[in-house]
Amino acid sequence: MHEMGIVRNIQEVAEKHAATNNVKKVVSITVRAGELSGLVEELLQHCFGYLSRGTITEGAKLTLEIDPIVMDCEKCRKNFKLRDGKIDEATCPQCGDTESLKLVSGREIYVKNMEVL
Amino acid sequence: MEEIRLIEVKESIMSDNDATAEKLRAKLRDKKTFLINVMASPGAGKTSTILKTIEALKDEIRINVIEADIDSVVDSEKISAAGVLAVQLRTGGFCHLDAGMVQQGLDALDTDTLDLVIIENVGNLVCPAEFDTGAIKNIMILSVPEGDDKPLKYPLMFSVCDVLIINKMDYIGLSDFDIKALRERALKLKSDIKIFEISCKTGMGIDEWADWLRQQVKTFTR
Repeated sequence: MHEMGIVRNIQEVAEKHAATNNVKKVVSITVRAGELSGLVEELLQHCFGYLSRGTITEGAKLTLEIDPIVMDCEKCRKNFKLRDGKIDEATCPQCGDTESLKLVSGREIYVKNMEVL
Repeated sequence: MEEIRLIEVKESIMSDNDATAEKLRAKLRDKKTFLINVMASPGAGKTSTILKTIEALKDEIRINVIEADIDSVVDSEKISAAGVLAVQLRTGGFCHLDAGMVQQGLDALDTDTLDLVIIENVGNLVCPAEFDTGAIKNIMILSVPEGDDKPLKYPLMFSVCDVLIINKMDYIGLSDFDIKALRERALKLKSDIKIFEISCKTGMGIDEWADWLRQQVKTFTR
């Protein structure tokens, strides 16, 4: 289960911040992830529902925001976002090159914020 | 009624694991022990490639292996039969290793007397790519029968690997596997990825791969 390890880490981050902010209950958690991470919101929520039982985050709603993949063109030095996430079909919007493109970001996952009581 | 507050967190979910991995790497540099993390899908030939690597290097390099499987000790038994110490980590349902688990594996080994530790990660192209294990180099094995489209389906895995080993090259004429397309796809995800073509069955390419690894270990442990 791909999402399980990720969710465990999301929960650890959430619990850590809940502990230092005098939180009684976590209502929602917003996670931001690069498109390459391949996360699916429904699966995240499903795993989270299971792993959060009996913790301060039980019942919290998980929201996933996706950041586009960013590439660099080594020919013309243009830095650009991929709109459709398809690295294989990527073309530099400035010079049209398809060969010397390099992946810059798209795999990071972080907890952006959380709503708490 | 209580008011809902918003807490700005902005923390990577990998920060704990990344910190553990960095600490582990620092310790390895100190002990002069080279650590590689071998990842692949089930059946690509992780254990076979590791066995061939041991065969090629064991007279000059002191090697141990950390085996990870959801269950069973089949792989570590094969490695032990080759005369190299292997510790088996059972991940108990988890589909990958993280730096904490690797540290446990290393604790069971005497790294003072070792030049190289090989991690055989859980057979999976998704989750192992997400978690830094603390390895000095990440190695991925892709076998010809799996197809040349894997970089399209599992881009993250290719983007984190330093080396791509294409195994089962003896199948190449029997399939429509396009090795040029594979190379282009892999290089787009990792422009400095090193690619080796091997066959554990015929022995093709094993020497080139072993030479590269020997050089890496020698430089690191000098």
